[in-house]
Amino acid sequence: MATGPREGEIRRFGTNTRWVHRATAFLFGVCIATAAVLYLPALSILFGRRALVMTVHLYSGLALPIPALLGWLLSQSPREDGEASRGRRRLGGSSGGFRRDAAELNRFGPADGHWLRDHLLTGPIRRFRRQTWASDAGGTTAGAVPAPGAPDVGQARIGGKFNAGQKLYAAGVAGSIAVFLGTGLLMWFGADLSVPDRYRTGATFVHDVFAYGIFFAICGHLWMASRDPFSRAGMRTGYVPTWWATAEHPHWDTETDQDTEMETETASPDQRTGEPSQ
Amino acid sequence: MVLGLIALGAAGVAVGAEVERAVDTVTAPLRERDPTGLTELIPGSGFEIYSVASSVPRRTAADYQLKVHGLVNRPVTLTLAELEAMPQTAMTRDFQCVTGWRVDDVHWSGVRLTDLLDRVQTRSTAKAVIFRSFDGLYDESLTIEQARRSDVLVALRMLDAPVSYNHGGPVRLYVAPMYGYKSIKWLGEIELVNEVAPGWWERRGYDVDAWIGKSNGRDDEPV
Repeated sequence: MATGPREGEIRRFGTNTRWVHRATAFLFGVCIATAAVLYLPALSILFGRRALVMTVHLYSGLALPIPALLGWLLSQSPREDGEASRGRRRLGGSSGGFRRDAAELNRFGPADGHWLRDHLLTGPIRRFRRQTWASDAGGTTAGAVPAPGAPDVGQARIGGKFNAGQKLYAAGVAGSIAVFLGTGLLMWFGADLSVPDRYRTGATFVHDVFAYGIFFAICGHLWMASRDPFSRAGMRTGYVPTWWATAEHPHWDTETDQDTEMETETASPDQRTGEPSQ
Repeated sequence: MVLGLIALGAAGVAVGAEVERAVDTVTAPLRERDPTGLTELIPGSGFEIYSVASSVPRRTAADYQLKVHGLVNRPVTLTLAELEAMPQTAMTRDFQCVTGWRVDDVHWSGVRLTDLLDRVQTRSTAKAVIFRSFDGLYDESLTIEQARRSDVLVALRMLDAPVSYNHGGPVRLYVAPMYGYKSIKWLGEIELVNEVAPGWWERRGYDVDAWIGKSNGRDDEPV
């Protein structure tokens, strides 16, 4: 496993992945704040300025997919990463990080099924029966151990960086952005395009329901982040402790992950000493 | 998962109108007995509250005034008590917003606009009526024929209570056959003029003649 510029740390997120995260989070924040003003009567009357709030909501919503698209365009594909790692690793100008991370998030394997079963079905039931988290996380039960069919060295070099919950969340956010865009455009241009009322009403309803869904999903995302300072440091600084990576993401293939190589190219230890590492 | 959500979204667009109706049927009784306002969080139920100004002053019976002027023989400035002293008309009619939501069977009562126009004696040169809100921004207008309809009220009560602040109280307009943006809230001024002028939302693209089901590219059932 590659080591970070500082002792015991490893590069988890490249610059463009972190900027995609920041920009998307900011735009979602603006969308949710303006949505609350548009939708909740108490805030509508408190803040007013409906035309302005509508405009801000529209444009921040239209901009939502742009960070991810830019991140995608400005990074190398995982295949190029592989070539880079075989010979040209120090030549690439862009980080290659976001495309690799997106590919990781999009790869669901058998291990993810085990993880989900363990954490969403049997796990909560066991915890309900007063078994502690420690026995769960200690890896003595199913799911924490590499399950049959889990990615191994010979099978896949991608897929272990994120757990299945993170993959589901990412897919949920990506799908929701698509739904928000589609229904939002129907609502906005429905009259000009002579879309029948019932579909415009349906689009409004879907937009509202998905807004609740994404709101609670983001609350859960923030709640999970609030409980793991190392995970937060990973997104803030790009680096996580090696022991954390081993414990949380044992199958993360750090050898082919471009982000773990990045640090030797662009970041030097003295540049980063000012950053809190937690 | 991504495609599944998109499919779910598309299915929702197709049947969402029916689902929303069903939800509304279930929640309507709850809404009537809800002191917390939490039912307003349910998608597609009840009134949305729209305001275009940054803040709207609160007017009460003590300081509310309605100025009626322009091409009239007897301009007046009426207090809330004077409006309440005029003959009151009640009706139970839906409220339909141009953004799609509709509230069924709302109880309205107040002074017929045509009675008010009779009181100030409009001149023959008056062809249109401009309404202005005391929020300082919102305005809209009707032709004199539209304003003389019997289903156009200067509403003092709605939902079995004096018009609340959020709904445009103490006095708002209710133009039953037109979309909600014609039912100006926080009504402060009525001016008789010689031609219709596009109002606040109308300058932003909505139709000036806002007949429900026959404007803004919509086919809602008329009220």
